[in-house]
Amino acid sequence: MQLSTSIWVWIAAFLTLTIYSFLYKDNPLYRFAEHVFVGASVGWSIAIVWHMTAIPYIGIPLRDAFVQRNWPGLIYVAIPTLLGCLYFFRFFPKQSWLARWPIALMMGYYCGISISPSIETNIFTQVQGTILTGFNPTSLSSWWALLLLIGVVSTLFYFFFSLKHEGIVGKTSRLGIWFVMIAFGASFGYTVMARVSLLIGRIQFLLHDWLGILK
Amino acid sequence: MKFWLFMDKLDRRWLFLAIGLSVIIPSITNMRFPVTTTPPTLNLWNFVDSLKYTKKPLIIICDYSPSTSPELQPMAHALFRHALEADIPVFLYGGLYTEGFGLARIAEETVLEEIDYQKANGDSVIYGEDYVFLPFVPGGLAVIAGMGEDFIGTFRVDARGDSLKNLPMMDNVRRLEDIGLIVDIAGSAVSRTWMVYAGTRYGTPVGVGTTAVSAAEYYTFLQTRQFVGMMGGMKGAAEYEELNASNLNIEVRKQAGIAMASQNFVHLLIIFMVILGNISFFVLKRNKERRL
Amino acid sequence: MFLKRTLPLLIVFLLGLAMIIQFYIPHPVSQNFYDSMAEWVRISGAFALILGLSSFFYVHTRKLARKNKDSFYSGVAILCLIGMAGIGIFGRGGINGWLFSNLYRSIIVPLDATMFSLLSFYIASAAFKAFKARNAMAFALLVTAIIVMLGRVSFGSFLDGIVEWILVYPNTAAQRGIILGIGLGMIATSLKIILGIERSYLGGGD
Repeated sequence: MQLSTSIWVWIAAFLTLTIYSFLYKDNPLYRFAEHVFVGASVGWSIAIVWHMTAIPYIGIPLRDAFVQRNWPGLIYVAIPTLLGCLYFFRFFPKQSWLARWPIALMMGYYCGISISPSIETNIFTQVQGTILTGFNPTSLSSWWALLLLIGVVSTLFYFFFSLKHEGIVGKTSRLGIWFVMIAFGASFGYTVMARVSLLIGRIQFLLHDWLGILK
Repeated sequence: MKFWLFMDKLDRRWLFLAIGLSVIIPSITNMRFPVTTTPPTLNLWNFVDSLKYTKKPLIIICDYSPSTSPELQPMAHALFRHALEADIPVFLYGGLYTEGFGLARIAEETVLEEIDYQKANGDSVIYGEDYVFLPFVPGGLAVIAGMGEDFIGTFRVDARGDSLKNLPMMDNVRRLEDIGLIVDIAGSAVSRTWMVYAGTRYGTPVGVGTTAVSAAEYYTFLQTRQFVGMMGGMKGAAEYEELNASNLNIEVRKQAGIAMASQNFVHLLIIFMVILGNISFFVLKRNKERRL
Repeated sequence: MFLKRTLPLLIVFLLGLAMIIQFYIPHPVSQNFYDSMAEWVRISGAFALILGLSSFFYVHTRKLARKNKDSFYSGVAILCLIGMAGIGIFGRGGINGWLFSNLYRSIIVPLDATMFSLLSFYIASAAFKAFKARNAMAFALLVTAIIVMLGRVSFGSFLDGIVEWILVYPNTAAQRGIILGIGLGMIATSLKIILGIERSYLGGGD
């Protein structure tokens, strides 16, 4: 056992234990740590955005364009900068409509850019991967591919609400629920693994980095 | 009957204690179990390894926050180590959100200290030739689009603030199509964004490292080869560490491998709890029906 | 009226349409337009982050002004924010500085990771108290979950084959059905926004 001599590791260990104290019951130390976290992480993001966006993308290009008297360059950066500033009008109820302009820029850009690749990735390629090509009754993988096809179709039926779920539609959608349940079961199994991993990570920190028990 | 009633009313803090102990005990007793490799991790490892022949760069993206780092950080370490040892040019990148930047830096420092700034062939690791650390650039999707058209123009500088243009590794990198593989390590759906834009639009192969939560969902993209391979959760990371150790002869602390020992016991405990909970449910239900 | 409502709708319509069309035109003019728009979105996006920050101050200064037992915690949050941002912006070395990096490693990383790791305790307690096989379908879910949980650790490595089969076939089938549904929904929503049918993003008012 070799206890850490770093003050930083001790701080981290203290904060870790403070959060775990919540498992016993809510307490002031936990609330303190919770608020330290909220404040520090927002502060951290501000510093990152300042150094990695505000300076290189706005400050430096504006300054350079101004010094070199490159007026088109200046306008090119000034337009999105001014548009960005319009966000602040959200705080003034009478002029808040001005904030709609930068929002419109974002919405138009993201909606337009997402449609074409989305059709290709989420629709075409997925359908392509499901279509049976050359069914061979003697090959097991052909049967599994058929199972996949049946599963996809029946799941789609289950989530298709424009038709009443009765008769053949009802039977297919009921088959779909079984596939969905198996998929959710698999996801749940994996989710348990994910959550436990986080705990193991923290315990490893306490035992390895702080207490030095683990090699 | 008394036992089931007792179990039904059991204070959940006892369960918390049981979970805690089943993590701590296997850790301090130094238990180790073999890790078997699954096809998605093997495919990813092989794809990364194949880059040593083409010398096309690998981009490792740490698109996650500290909350999921116990699962995902070992993946970044294992990938970075693999690329350095196999002499594959590699970009470390903190991804589309601010949080990843600090974690990518931890990956950089940890791995370089572990291998003492030396590759397996004895050469020193040289910044700018062997790897480059990219900075955070805001804009989400727009950043991927920018990389697709003009890689250097999108970032301009590296994470140290030096001009990207002057780094030797950038000689053969103009846009995304010059990249051999992108591995996005993320705990959110952002990996799908990389798949859609970098993969579909620019044709760059994309692999993924994900938390176990999304692993089941991503099988559908593995089947269509939209993801060339995947590390799923702590298990995926442990598998990658194992593949590194057995194929590259790397002897370092297996962060995820060690964690898997505890994972064994906690999974057993939770399965036991599910079964116990169900027996209790049926026994109490039958007892209630009898009384009516 | 034009500036308040029609202009934003027009921007969305024209820009949305242009972004769809440029995907199919690999010409320098189209690429330049694409690059410029990407940069504009990047720049104005930075201000949206600052907007989020203002709401943080709004919530916590109000709590501080109320002067009850929660005020102390809001004070702590504000102090930590100012301290962290100040060190990152004005401190020696900026975000690459020694103090800033260490604060990140020993405050933000452990707190964030530990908060989320609390979930493992609650999922375990839920497994015992709520995860019940009430009918045949819930039983299927439960059995699959147990097989996957066991098959993904060393003790259950004999289940590797069956876990992989579950994931590759029945699981992929259902996940794909869901993805196709979401994909179609996303495309429909994007089109509705571009065409001005969906306008809730404009907020209330004229």
